[in-house]
Amino acid sequence: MTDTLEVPPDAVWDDWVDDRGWGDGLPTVAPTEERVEAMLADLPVDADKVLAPLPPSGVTPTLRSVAANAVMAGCPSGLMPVLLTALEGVVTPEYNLHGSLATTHPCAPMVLVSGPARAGFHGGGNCFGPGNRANATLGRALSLVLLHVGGATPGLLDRSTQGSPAKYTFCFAESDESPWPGLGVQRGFGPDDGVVSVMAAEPPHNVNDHGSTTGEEILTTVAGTMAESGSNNVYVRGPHLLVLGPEHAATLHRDGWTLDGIRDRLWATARIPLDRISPGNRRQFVEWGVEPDGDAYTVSTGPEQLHIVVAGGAGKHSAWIPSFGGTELCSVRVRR
Amino acid sequence: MRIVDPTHGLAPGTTVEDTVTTTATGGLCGLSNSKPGATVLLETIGQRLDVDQGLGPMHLASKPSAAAGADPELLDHLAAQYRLAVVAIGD
Repeated sequence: MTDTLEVPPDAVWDDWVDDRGWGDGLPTVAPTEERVEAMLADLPVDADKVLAPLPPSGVTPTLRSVAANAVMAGCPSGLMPVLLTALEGVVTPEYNLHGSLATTHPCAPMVLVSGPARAGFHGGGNCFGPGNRANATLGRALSLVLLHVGGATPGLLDRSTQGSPAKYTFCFAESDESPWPGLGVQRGFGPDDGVVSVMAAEPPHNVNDHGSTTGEEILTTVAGTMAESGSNNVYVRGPHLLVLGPEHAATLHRDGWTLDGIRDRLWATARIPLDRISPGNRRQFVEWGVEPDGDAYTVSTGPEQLHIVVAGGAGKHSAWIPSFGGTELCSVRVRR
Repeated sequence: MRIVDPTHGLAPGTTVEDTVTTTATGGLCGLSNSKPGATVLLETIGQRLDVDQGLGPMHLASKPSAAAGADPELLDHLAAQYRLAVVAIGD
């Protein structure tokens, strides 16, 4: 069966895409055979081994259809290995792709690039925002694959109540200014391994702290941001990610804080007092098996659920990224 | 202009319709996605099926987590017990 289509000569490309129910609402690049073939250059020999059925449709993409989506997203050449690794991550059962695509929660497939795979990606200033083509298009390409092949059509099988801007694209790299090992090394990969980590996540929640001058003070502000009564991490539990800005990270490191020390402190202090959870929601939490720990609710089930990286540029900001809850942070080595 | 179809892929295996002769003795089951809205839907539908059709009472069951699909074991367990099930997806 052919995998090509003829676009009528009188068609306006973006209108034609829209009429077919394709796309994310932004303009796309037409995936001509020449562009798709160029996108497929220099792939690892076993690249197609990572392709698996994508829920909710159950359709398995091909390398060519993945590349077509990369072209549509505007990816520069050379991003396919990272895109295929991200796809390998989201089909990991623990990621819970079906649940994360069909939920009413606004989660998006967050892609975090670590180690040598960061080449071309951006982990400095404005890393969650515009300005870097690889960040902007890689996350978009992944979302387009899930939309076009996986069938996660908004309003049909993507049932998100409000969605989020992160559903367009959500990709960033770790900073090279981290005083601690990168996430790949933290998770058992080698320092020469390029690693892609994915998590069904909310957009970043800012942690603004310009006044604190010690690591302990900064963690007080981070704990306050994490103690959010409406987060899925309170009742579904699951992983969450702290992205420290380099300046906050430097202060914490100067004061002797280790990653485990930060996790333990935030587990102990990021608590939600009972009176910030409504009686109705407390009853619902009981039905779901979630009880307070003393006079407060915890954020997830333990300190090990908090993952920590450094990203961003100059300034006194960090970010907390809650997850869908029913997901895991899945890390995969980029094939070479 | 000829393009590569971005929706192209290998379709999942064909679903085979299976007719099962059940030995279940129970009546009506309502399976919830474990959200409060689904419980309201099932209770209301269960009452109507009981009053209008004599199919009740409806026994309620739910997935362990709203965030994940129902385990096949749970579905098999319910299929072994009940002759009819109503599935509700609420929020």
